[in-house]
Formats: sequence, C-alpha cells, structure tokens
Amino acid sequence: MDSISMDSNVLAPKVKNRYSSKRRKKLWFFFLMSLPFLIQVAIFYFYINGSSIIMSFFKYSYIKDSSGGVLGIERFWAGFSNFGDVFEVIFSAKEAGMFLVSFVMYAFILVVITPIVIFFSFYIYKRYFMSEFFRVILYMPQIISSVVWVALYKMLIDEVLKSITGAPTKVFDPANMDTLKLTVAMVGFIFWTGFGGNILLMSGAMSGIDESVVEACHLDGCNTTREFMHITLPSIYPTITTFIVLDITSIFTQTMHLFTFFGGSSPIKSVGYFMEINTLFTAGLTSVSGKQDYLFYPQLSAMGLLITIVTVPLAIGVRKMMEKLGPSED
Amino acid sequence: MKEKVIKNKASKIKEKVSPYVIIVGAILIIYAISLILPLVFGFMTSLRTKQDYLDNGVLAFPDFSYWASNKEANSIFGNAGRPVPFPFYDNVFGSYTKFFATGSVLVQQKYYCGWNMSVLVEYTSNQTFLDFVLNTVLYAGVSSVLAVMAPCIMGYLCAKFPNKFASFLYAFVIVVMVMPIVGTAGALLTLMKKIRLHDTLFGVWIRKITFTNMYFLIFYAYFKGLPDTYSEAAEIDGASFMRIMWKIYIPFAIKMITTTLMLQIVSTYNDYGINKLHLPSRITLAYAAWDFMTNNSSAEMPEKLAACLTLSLPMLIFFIAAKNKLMGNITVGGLKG
Repeated sequence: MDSISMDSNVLAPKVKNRYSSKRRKKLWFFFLMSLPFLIQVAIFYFYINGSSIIMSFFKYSYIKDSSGGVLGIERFWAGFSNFGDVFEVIFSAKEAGMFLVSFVMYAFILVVITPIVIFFSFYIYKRYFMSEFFRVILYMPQIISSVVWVALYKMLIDEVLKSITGAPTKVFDPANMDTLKLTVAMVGFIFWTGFGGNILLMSGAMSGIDESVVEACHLDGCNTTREFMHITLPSIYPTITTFIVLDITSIFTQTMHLFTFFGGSSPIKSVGYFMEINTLFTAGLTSVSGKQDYLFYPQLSAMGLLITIVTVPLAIGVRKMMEKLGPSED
Repeated sequence: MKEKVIKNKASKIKEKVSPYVIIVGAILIIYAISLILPLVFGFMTSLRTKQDYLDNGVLAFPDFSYWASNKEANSIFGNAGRPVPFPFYDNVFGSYTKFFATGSVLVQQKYYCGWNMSVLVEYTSNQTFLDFVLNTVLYAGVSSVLAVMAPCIMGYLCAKFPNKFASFLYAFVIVVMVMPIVGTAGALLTLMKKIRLHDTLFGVWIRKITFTNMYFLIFYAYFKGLPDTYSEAAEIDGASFMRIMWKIYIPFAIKMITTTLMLQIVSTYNDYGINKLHLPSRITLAYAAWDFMTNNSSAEMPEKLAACLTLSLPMLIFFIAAKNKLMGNITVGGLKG
C-alpha cells in the first residue's frame, strides 16, 4: 500500500508539469502568431482613435524660418475652441441643411426601404418563380462599381428622361441645380442600387430558419401570411435589429454617393459628404499660408468626436429598445 | 390518401400563384429590367461615335455609317505615327480605344511629411492606362489577400487556442463593429505622413492587415466548429502548432477563404476612394473611370461610358464565372447580448 501511494506521489507532479508546459507552449504560439495583428490594432485602432480625440483639443501652427520655409510644426492647447469652430460652421446658414439631408435619407431607409426589403426577401427565401434569376440580378449592383451606376443613372435622368419628357433643364446640370429635384434623384439612386443587396442579406438570414419549425407551422394549418408574421419575422428579428442599428451608426457617415456624382462641388450635402470633402481638400493640421477654406484635421476630429458621442448611445439605446420590444426566446 | 395528396398539391399551387407572388414577382421583373436595360443601353451608346451621338441624340442605336467614316479613332494611332492595328475594331470600339490610348490622369501632390512635418513632398505625374491596370492589380490583389488572411489566422488562433485574451479579442471585435468612431481620418493621415508611409502601397497594405471585421467572426465560428481531434492526432505524430495550422486547418477553410477573397477583390477593385485620400499617386482603374466621367468636359457620353464599362467588364466576367461562390452562404446574423 505504501509503495502504491509512494508511486502516486512520484507520478502526480510529472503529469501536472507536462500539462502546464503544453499549455504554456500553446499560449506562446498564440501570442507570437497574433503579435503582428495585435500591433496593427494597437497602432491603427487605439493609437489613431486616441490621437484623434487628443488632436481635437489642440491647434497647430507651422514653425517657419525668416524666408518662410517650414522648419516644423507645433501644437498648443486649444480647449474647446475647435468644437466652437465646428459648431459655427455646421450650424451656419450655408451648411445647416446637411443635417436635414442626412435625417431624410435615414428616415427613407428606415421607413421605406427596410420594410420593402423584408417583404421582398420573403419571395427570394421561399424560392418562388424566377427567384434564382432575381438573386443573380439583385447581386449585380454589388459587383459593378458605383462609378458605373452613377454614369448610367446620370445618362438615364439627364439624357433619356429629358429626351422623353422634353424637360427644359437637366437634373444634374451644374449650372441649373434644383435642390429638391436633386434630393429626390439621389434618394432614387440609393433605392435603385441599395435595394438588391439588402434583400440578399435578409433572405440569407431567413434561410437560417429551422425547416422543421416551418413544416410544423404548415401542419398546424397556417398559411404563408401567418408563416411570415409568426415564424419568419420573429426569427429574423435579431437581423432586422442589426440592420437598424448599423443604419443609425451611418446616419452621419453616409455620403449618399454625392462625391461620385459631383466631386467636391455638390449643391446638397449630407454630414458624411461634408466630412469627406473637408478631409479631402483641407490643408491638413493647419495651413502654411494661414488661409482656411476647409476645416483642419483637429476640427474634423472634434466634429467626429461629437458625432460619436451622439451616435453611440443612440445606437445602444435603440438596440436595447428593440430587444425589449421584440419577440422573446419563447 | 389520394385526396390529401391532391389537396397538398392544390395548396402549393395556390401559394405559388397567390397575389403576393404575382405582385412581388412583377415588381422584381421590372427592377431586374431597370438594372439590365441601362447596362445594355450604356454598352450600345459606348459603341457610337462622338459625331453620331451629337447628331442623332441619346435615344438612337449606333449608326453604322458613322463607323465607316470615323476618322477619330484611327487618328489616335495615325497621328502618333503608329500603324492602326485593327481598323474595324478602332471604329466600332473607338471610344474604348480612345480611353486605352489617351486616357490619363494628371496627379499633382504637395504636402508636408516627416516626424516634424517639415519635409515638403511635391510632384506631378501623368498616369496612363497601363499604370491604372498595374496599380489596380497591386492594390486590389495584395490588399485582398492580406485582408482575408488576417481575420482567418486570428479567427483560427482565437477558436483553437482558447484563453481569456482570445475571449476578450472576440468581444472587442464585436464592440469595434457596432461602435463606430468617426472623424479619425485626420489622425490617420497625420500618422502616415509622419512615418513617411502616406501615398505608398506599403502603407495601404499595412492598414489592410486587420482582423476587426465581420470576416473574423465568420472564420472564428467556422474553426470553432471543426473538431480538435485533427490537431490532437497531429500532435501525437509530432507536428508543430504551425504545421497543424497551415497543413490541416487552413486547408479545411480553403473554400471559405476563396469566397471571402473573391468578395474582397470585388470590393477593392471597385474602390475608387482609396486614391482620393490615401494613395493619390497610384491611380487605379476605378478612379480613372470616375475622373474620366466627372472631370473630362471634352468627352461625350459614349467615351465616358466606355471608360466606365471598361472598369466593369472584368468584374462582370468574374461574376459570371464565380457567381455560385460569390453568392454563397455568408450571411449577416443578429448580434445578441
């Protein structure tokens, strides 16, 4: 008995060491292999975001020599002055309309496009007449560049429709821009090119519904309408929630393809487009000449921070609300 | 029994010809026509000569007589002292020839960079069609591979080497996806200029090696579903962790890697925005087509459409060849918790 217990004591430590040695090797491998990616995230997520937040509280100016040559750049604490500059610009008479454009676009996507997408996705999911053909066609706007669709859309609206209706001016004519017509045309473009891709995603989510549940529903005598209302919709509710939350996060980043249509001179602006052209055409941290035509990077960072502060709690709040209002697990 | 079968068949037919199916089917047919018809019409317009378009307006088919008398396409080669390779081709596809032979984008850059932002970089370059193609291959090709392999490897590591940090990374990726932080372009551009990687392919490639996206979740779920018995058997045979990863598990995921790679290639090929901010000196085909369409006031619609359709043709061919893989089973699910 003593020899057996002595053998157990001899055995046990060796088993314990071997386990921890293997686990250590696994951890070493995990960290060594993931190191390049972790460094990338550390730099391009944490450092960039931290730097952007810090930048929004500073202003920059170039250090110049006597002949005007640049020797370097210095920054100085600006407090909330960048935020003040941003408020002054975005709520000016010239730019305030961009909020209306962004909200109109979001409202259109939420109220019009999302229900239509769900309604049409059911057709693809149930594999009705020509659904395979429609799946291929609906995917086409994702395959072909938006540059091509913009060119075709401009041709259709400005050349073809104008020839047919005999309208006096073109909708996209830089010399004769009607803001209302333009907004309607842009909304039409977003519907035309965005409709198909969302249908495919939603029908993909529907295809994840357990077939046995659907069969049981039919055995109990429910028709397609009841199946849609009581099985399909509740089953894809988490996907609908994800869509709505992602749409909220893009209210202020949606550029509406305005740059593709007009370059930097669109007569209507969304918040995302405003930020895009300012980022593109700005002199940078500051300008050498002192002239400012566009917001500098610190001011854009301040604007981005304000948008994030508004968007994140809104997205979380909407998600919580939708989870509360939605169907339960039962 | 027979009656039940007949009833079931009748109800299935009734379902398939219900008002919902008829109305939605009709709308989808109209929508499909609205997508196909402009492409076909655009292609036919791109075959017309500039004179034909100006004389006969937009709603006309190509006029063959203009092809026979079109001197413009031939003059591109003739005036340059070079033999016209295919006269018929140059007439029918004159707008395309013009884009291939004379399409160019003038790039002018002036910015300060370096750690003190005191180094002035200033240059002008004229990029032509061959540059567009080369830049597109380098940008779309390499970026796509990096953008797929990063989440694939990280998804494997987190799924097959479970530990607290791996769980944290999984939650972190979800948080990054649902919580956007806006307005960081300025900080990113400043950093890239400071480390002298702005406007370089290498700088763009490094930014693609990220796993904080949907593909990480997809690969994680996939590798989590694969049994550990393969790695256990391989370990018994003396295989290292690296060998197990590259020789056993990554080959299992090759179909998924191929599908996500194709999706990434489509996305990066069509991305003309990269040239606006991050790579202004290496013009891709997408940006060149956009520039030709937007900023080329001397070109008429046939030439603009030719530039755009040149961009879309490789993708259309790619899509027709690989549509089953591209439209596979990658879906967006709901995020709970």
